[in-house]
Amino acid sequence: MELYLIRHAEAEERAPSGRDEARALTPRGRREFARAARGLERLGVEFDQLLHSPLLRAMETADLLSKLVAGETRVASELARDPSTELFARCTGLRVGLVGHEPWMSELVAWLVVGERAHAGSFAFKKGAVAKLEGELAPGAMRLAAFWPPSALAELGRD
Amino acid sequence: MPKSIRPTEALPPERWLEHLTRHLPIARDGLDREGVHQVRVAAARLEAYLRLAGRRSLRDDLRWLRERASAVRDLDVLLERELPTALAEWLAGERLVARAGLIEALESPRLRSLLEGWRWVPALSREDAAERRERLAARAERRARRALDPESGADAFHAVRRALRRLRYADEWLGRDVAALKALQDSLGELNDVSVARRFACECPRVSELADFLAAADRELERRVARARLELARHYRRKEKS
Repeated sequence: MELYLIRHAEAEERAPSGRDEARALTPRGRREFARAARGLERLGVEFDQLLHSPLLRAMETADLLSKLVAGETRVASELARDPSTELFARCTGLRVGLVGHEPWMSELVAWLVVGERAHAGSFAFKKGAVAKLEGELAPGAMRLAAFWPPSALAELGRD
Repeated sequence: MPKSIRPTEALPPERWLEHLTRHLPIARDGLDREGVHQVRVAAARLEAYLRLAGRRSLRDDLRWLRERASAVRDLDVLLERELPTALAEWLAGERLVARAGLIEALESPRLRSLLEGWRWVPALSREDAAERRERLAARAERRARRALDPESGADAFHAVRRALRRLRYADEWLGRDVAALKALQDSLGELNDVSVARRFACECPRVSELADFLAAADRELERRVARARLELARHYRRKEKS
């Protein structure tokens, strides 16, 4: 399968409620990630399923990817905590996108590619970055096919 | 996503969110059939809310929950009618399957995630909602014009019913009068009930025993389509005059 790991775009420092979960994307975060989504579209990326964390900044990032979703968009609390096999059970389809947070995105790449989360530091995600993994969805069984920084995707998506 | 970042009147989702969470356990225990119905109507209104907010996330999750509830509710409604034994017996079995699907949904991590996600959805701005409401109205009108074509059949009216449902819920969120839309929707709903009954009869393994029932359903469907066409034309004529 193809697995795309996506860190949410730039979010406000503090939500009006003060709750971290309620932080929305900034206007710049939306603008830049909308370009990045266009860049992904130009690369031919399409998802059979897009899973996103229930935190507002991840939901808003997923909204910007909606044109790339051929199947369903689903919310998954498993993306807002330490990576687990429960998350794998939620993934269906051959091309799945996951929108989540650090440090869990890095840990997920390390776990799936190297087989150990301890190597997460080698796969740090900037906000709006996307990693493409290929192979069987199991620890140590995937290959890192691409790792796009947000600026490269935004450049690719420029009008 | 809201386009405007200017302060504007906010329309919070709490009313129907609370309605949904209050009825989930009632739908789960199954003692009161109204629980399933209320889960369905709350999910549909929350879908409309997200549509008005221009948000895509959580909509598929709500649709999934609504469809699981609808599968049970449609059968509950149908089983209240007088039906041929062959059909009623089969539908009772289908209801058990639908009910198992609903319970699975109500106990799933997906539902827990959905409710968690809703906690962080910001209140809808009235200004953005009013703008998107006009798009829903335009779509409903396009569908209605298509249905008013004398060549159109029941499917065209189902498309109108869905579009009017979204428009009615949008108007409810905006606090507008929905009496006319509700009356029209009720009439189209009756047409849908006949279509649902007909569809189940066609799928029934003992369909060969249901020839009389199907013939009656076809006649009823024809009558309902004719009536819906008249009511729809009247609704849009009144709207044009006003």
